[in-house]
Amino acid sequence: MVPTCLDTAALALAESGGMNAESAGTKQQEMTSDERAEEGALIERIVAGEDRHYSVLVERYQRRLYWSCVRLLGDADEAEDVVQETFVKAYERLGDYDPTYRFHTWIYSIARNRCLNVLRKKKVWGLLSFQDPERTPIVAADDSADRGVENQELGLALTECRDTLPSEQRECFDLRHAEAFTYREIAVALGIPEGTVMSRLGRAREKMRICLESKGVVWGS
Amino acid sequence: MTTGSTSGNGHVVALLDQYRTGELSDEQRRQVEVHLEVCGDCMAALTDLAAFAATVEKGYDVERALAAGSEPDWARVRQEIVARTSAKRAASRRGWLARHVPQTAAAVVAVLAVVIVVQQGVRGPEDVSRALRPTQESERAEVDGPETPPPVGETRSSEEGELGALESATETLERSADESELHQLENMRRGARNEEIDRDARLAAPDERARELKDGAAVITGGRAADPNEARPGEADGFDEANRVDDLRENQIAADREIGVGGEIEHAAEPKREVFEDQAVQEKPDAAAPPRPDEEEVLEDGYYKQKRAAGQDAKVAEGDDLDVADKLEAQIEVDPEAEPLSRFEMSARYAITRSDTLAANAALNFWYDSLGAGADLELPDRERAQALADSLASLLARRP
Repeated sequence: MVPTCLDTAALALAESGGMNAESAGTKQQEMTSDERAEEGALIERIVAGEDRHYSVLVERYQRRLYWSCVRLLGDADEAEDVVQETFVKAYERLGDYDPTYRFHTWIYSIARNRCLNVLRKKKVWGLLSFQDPERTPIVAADDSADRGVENQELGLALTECRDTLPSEQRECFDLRHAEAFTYREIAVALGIPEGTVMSRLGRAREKMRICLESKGVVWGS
Repeated sequence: MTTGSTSGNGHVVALLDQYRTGELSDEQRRQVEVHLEVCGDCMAALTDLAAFAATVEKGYDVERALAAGSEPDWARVRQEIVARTSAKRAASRRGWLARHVPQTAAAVVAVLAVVIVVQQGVRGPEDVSRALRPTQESERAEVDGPETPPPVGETRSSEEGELGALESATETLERSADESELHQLENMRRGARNEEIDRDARLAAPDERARELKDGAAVITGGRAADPNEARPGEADGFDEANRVDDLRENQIAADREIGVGGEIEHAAEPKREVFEDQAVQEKPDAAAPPRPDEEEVLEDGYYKQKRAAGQDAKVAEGDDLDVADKLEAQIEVDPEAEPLSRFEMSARYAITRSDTLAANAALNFWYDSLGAGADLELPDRERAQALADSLASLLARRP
């Protein structure tokens, strides 16, 4: 049995309801705006020729992009290759970047297309499992005192349940909960209407609830 | 727990996830808040959704932490990405040069054609011969009384128009940042200005004209000081006719040669290397910093050996007869068997120590064309070569 894994912030949000949820949401928006402004200025400088700043963007997003690719491809080595290609491609097309969207959304779209190309070549899109034994194994890190067995079980349960989702629902679910994309950003990145995002996410959550509960994961009181 | 299902009967379940993260519009947010105040089910659904999302996000963190050992070395990945983007940048610069050099060359040819046409219109062969016979005019002026002014306005306005066209073309070329063409245009512009000075001198009073002619000649030849009181042998009466004719002829030849008007005067058909070499001397901002003797010796000695071996002894006997292209080639090709990197470094140092923009241009082209901006070099070499390339670029950028 895996115990509840709510963190403090989530508990506060869950217990306090709408008003706190609103303020938390507003705060997130403000941070996003600041971050976006700083990022926009950085990108402008790179486009203007100050190429050395590109490494800042790479450092900021390479890990997140890598994990997005790992989830799509199920292969760590291929994910690393795609990340490199994506950043090179993004550099070439940086002048086309529309600052009304987050850079993360834009570069994710590039990475996703490249991942889909890789998968199409292998004709395995939609069939991949995150822990496919055929792929480069993801080696578990050494355990530390802070990382208990319970958390490991939560991680494994999440992985197994995600693998049961259809690829379209899984991708929406990953973008929403792992990458913190907004509905709008998911719609832009996947090229689908926001209504479709909403319905895919709704179905994905229902399936994930059932699956996680069946594996003993509980949340809330 | 119906999180994610479509709302019904006024419920706002479908909007709760976006409400939770603050993505709703003001109107939608107010609508949700009003409903939450009166609907316990929706409030419970919001609480449940927040807990579910927190659990899932925690699960993702754990998933990443479990696989942390298999993550790549991010510093290495970043380095590789930056190296690849640098190579792309270098390739795109090469592409730019390939696209713009033909256009710029065509523009220069067009400007030259215009200049030649204007020159022939304003100063045909008769004008040239008249310019070479000022003494006859001055003699006639002494006999006929006050000198009848030539059509000054017409001539000057034509020359001003020519200068304007050249300066306009210079601005165009400056925008296209093509250094070598700019050199040629600067030469032409200076030639036109000198010619203007020359003509002004011819139009001035005889005594002043004599002095100004000397100044003009000094300006063009870049030679001796223009001291009007300095008497040369045989100049007891100020300026004898033979010297005046000689100076006028020198002025005209020098101006025509710089403008590039060939054919009318025998000397104008001379190679342009003297103009370039003179200008290279003038452009050196740091003439007090001589090149390292050993390096220059090696460069030039190696080149002469090659030329002699190729049977061109006559051309390279003294070493002064090399034209500009040969000199640039000498810097790059002094040792064709050497590694491209060392050839680049040698030519770059040659250019930097001499502040030679032409050589810098050639070395920089070699850097992009043959070394791919260092994309394939190992790190210590790449940094060293990149520093040289940066210095070359600075040298070219400093050039007025």
